[in-house]
Amino acid sequence: MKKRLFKISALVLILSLIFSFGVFAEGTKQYVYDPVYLLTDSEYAELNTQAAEISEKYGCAVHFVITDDPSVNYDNIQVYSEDMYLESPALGYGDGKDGVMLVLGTYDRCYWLLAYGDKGNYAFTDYGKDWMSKHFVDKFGNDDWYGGFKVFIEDCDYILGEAEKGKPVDIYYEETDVGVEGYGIALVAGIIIAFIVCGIFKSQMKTANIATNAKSYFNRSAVEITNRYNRLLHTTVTRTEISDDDNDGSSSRGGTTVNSRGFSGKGGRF
Amino acid sequence: MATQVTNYQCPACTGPLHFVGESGLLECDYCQSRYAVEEIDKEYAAKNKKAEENFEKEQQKKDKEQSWWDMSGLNSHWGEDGAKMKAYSCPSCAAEIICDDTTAATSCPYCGNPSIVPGQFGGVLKPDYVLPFKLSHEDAKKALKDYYKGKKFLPKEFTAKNKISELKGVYVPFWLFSCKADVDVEFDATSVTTHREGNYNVTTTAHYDVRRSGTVPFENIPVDASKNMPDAHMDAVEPFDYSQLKPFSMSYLPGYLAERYGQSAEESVERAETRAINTAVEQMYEDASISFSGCSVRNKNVKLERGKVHYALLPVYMLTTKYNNQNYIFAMNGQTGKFVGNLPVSKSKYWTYFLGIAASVTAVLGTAIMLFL
Repeated sequence: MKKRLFKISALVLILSLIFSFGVFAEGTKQYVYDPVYLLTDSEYAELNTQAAEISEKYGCAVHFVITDDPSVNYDNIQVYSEDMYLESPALGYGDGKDGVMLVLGTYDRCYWLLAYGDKGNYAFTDYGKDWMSKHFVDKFGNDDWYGGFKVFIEDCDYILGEAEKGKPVDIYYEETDVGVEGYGIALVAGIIIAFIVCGIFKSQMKTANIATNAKSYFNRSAVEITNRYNRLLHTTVTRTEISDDDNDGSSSRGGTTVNSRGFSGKGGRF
Repeated sequence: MATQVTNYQCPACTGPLHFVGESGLLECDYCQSRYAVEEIDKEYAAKNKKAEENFEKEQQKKDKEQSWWDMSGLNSHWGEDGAKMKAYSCPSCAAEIICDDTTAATSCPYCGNPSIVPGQFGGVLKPDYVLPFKLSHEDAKKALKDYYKGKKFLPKEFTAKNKISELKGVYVPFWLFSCKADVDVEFDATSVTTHREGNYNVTTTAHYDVRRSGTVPFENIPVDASKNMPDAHMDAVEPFDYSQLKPFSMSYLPGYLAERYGQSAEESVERAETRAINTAVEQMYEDASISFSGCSVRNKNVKLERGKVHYALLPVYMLTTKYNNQNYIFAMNGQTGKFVGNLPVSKSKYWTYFLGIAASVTAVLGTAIMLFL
């Protein structure tokens, strides 16, 4: 029953996409789908225009779709998104349907970010998708829908631009960041170590100091401990989630992982 | 004027005797004869007694005169210093030796003979112990040179132009305090354990109320009783090996300077007690902190069971050097050779080292991060 509902829901959205494609066919092609009306008219118009410009500029469609369908959840949003992308002629650019699409399920507060086609999968590497999602997840988490989509479109512009230069955003970007940050960390560490070492050298210049203890004037074996008392008062427990970087390392190899249907993707919750 | 000063003279040739730390004997500069301390003690027991009596008489006479006559105008040109000075007649050359009122052993500036003022250590002023010098003046000079070695920030000119302007071996008066500390300390302590549960790191912090009580006995905590010696230098040359303490004898003094105490035991007690209290609390902390990840003192209560106070003369070499019109004072433990003092810091050397280290660490660490991360 659930599966059936899910298929019907996907079909309804596909039909609405086809319909809306027709409606917008004469003007700007529709790249943004917001049947839930999370965006105001002006926000919607602005984002759609930006998405259209970027898509045309790079020959790779930039879409985002919002759905409040209760049957769409964290477990099935990937299949839902891929089905929709393949079945809707309004999605993707050109014959190869090159594109990137962010699908937001507001009911289960989950998302799926997919890329398709040679251009899409080349530009949107696994690392690139991770990098993008870090930016928009925080905004969606705070229900800043406009902010989240805005940053998504801007990131798409940057990623496609880098790919066009022949250097898609990938793991080596992190290495570059680590390099710059690494030298920053090394500089701070260098200054701290220099302070410590010079402090030790300087302390050797001043050895005449007032004594504050009498350690040389008692016999350790003569010390008598008459009372040892340890009482547990309370305990505190803190749980820290192990980050994806520590845990899987999926994006540490670089490149793009493409599934048998030709998609690469990344999902999560917000 | 009856003499209050004694010159220790060689029984063989009447040349001046001085105590030599390395041999532990009194040696004659002229005929190289050597005498045990006890031997000379016997020889000079009567003379010293006589000198002590003369010192006492002179003191009483002075007190009496001062109670009858107002003599303040006579030495007003000396100012306050005048009241702190004493004049003695050298038994060898009859020259007048003027020194500090606490000076107990010195040398005549005219004939150079070691001179002892037995009265300074007479009666209640007599020290319980003396720790004889083990090291020589030459050892002290060598120690100063060694002390400069490895000092990265020492200005080059300091070692090049630096000359010892004064080197003296001094028997410094010390009070030795013995006591027992009864200590109760309360701590806030924590014990932290971490384990992994699925996708989470779980950190459990246990908070404890910890208490430790005990007793810590202290023996002979030294506090210098000299008003002339810098406290920091005297503290820093510690510790002394008390196993070599000898019952006090004047015979250890010839060849060195010596002072009687200028600060009473009552005035010095606070420094000893502070040191005992700090160490007693530290002992409880050491015992408590072994079992915990973190431990901080919440409350402490230390009661001191005050014990015996001894008065001892301990051997210290004092060295003074001059650099850029400033005096630099160093001290060396005359028994163990421990050398202390404050040296000038070259700002240019400091910053050269600082930048060199910072740049090297940055380069090495930065490259390592680039290569391995």
